[in-house]
Amino acid sequence: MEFLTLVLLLVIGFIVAFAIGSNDETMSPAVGAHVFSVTTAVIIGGIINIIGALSLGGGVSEKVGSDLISGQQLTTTMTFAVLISMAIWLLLASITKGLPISTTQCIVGSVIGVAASAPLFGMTGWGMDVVSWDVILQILAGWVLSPVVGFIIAALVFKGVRRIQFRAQGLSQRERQEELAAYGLAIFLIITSLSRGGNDVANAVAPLTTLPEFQEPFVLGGLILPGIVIPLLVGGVGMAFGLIVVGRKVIKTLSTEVVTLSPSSALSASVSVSMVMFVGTYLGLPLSGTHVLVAALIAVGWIGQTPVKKEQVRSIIISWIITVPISALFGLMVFTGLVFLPFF
Amino acid sequence: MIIMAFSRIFRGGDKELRKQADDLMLKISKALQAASAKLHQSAQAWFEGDLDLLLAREEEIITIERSADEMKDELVESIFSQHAYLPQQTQERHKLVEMMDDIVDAAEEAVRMMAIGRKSKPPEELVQITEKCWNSTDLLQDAVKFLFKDFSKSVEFCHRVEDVREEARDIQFDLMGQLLTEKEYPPSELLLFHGMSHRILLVAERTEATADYIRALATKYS
Repeated sequence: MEFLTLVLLLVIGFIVAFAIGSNDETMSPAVGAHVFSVTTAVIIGGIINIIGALSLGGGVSEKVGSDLISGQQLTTTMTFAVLISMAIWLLLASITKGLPISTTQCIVGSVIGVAASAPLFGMTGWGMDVVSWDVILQILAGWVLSPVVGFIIAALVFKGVRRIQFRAQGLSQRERQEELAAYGLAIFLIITSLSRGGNDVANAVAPLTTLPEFQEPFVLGGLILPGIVIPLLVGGVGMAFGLIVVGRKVIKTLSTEVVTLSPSSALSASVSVSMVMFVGTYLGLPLSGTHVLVAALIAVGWIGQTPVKKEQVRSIIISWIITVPISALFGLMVFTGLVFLPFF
Repeated sequence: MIIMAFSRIFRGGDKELRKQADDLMLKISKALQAASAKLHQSAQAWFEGDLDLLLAREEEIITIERSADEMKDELVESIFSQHAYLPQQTQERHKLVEMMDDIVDAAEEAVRMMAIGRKSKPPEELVQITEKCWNSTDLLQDAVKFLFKDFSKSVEFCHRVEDVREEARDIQFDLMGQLLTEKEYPPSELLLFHGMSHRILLVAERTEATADYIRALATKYS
């Protein structure tokens, strides 16, 4: 592959990673509970994303939406069209309104758009027929299930936590409880960010990690490093920049514009999200972490009798509903553009 | 209101600062009780015509008020700003300190008015209202003390503050009736005692408002 093409692909990987980072809401509970300021949260999150990408990203393989299209393999052009259209919608949602949307939803919409439009360019074996509607239905069920399960589990967890909290005899004990929750929350979210960094980098640079150019080790100073480090580093840095430059808006939306959080309620929501996602993954349920988190935050706000800002929740839900059709449209448009580029 | 974050990367929650803060908070609660007790002594002295004692108590209350202000400033500038507590807790403590300080301010204003009107002999009801104010701040001091150790006891004291404040208000209405229906007072004294009763009652009202806030905190966390 030509050097310039390789650089272009890395640039695309960086932009996709930037977009994913810009919509990373992991640190929102800590900001909402005032454990970290937004700036501290995005800087810590950015650094952890890079560490996660480099340490865990290599082991994660990501087949972009292949199960959605009846096991067909997307071509390189199609893969990049999916990733770029996903990046566009993620960036639009993050920059304009700071809305947390699901990366998986973006991929699903983009894959449908790309697969449906492929026959327009003479590609046989594609079109709406290859879209696996069973899988789409499963995913749709997951989208409905995610907030419901997230809400119920978070409500139960926080109710249990509050029962323990009510045993406190005075303000000093209660403050101590909240302080411990604050430290627990910070540590828990750092670990979550690490894992998320490893997982999300795969979405951004998975097509690059398989390129032969990155299979050979390279020497840096006295160190021999595996070639895969380059795309992973590009992805990690991209996500970190996305989080630091744009991500603060999404974090602000979730941390301050949905419910009022305390360290214990934020920790309850975060732990609930992890529990739900862990069990969901184990059972093979297509749950969305973003949806579960938003529902969990609303649940702890409800149990804690703090007002839930309905206007903001409505905007978030609308963004979830329109994500798939808009991503499909972007997928179609981007794929159309890429088809006419010489090196694709 | 902008709330700062707890930790500049885990630098918050200093135990020494917290101990200082708790001590200062209790000292302010003692100060408001002392100011209110001295207000009662001032009213008694005024009623008995012991104007030297009244003026001496006025000075003492002013000193207490200044020292309460210093303690409040130390809490806000040297402790709350140092991330000693979580942001919500800082905000709640800050509000509590402000409310307690307002009680001392009310006591100071009342005693200054007494000093201004010292040449008139006050009705006994004014002395009785100051006694109720003193009782209410006594109870509030206990409510503050127990807020940190025992929510239910704290709430119990808060309820008693409310009862005492109602008694103070009843006495004030009796006084109003007397002032407005009996003609023994010249207009200047009528105005003075009318204003005086409001100023003194303000101590009990602010005490009740603080007790309500403490009760809200206790209910929220228990």
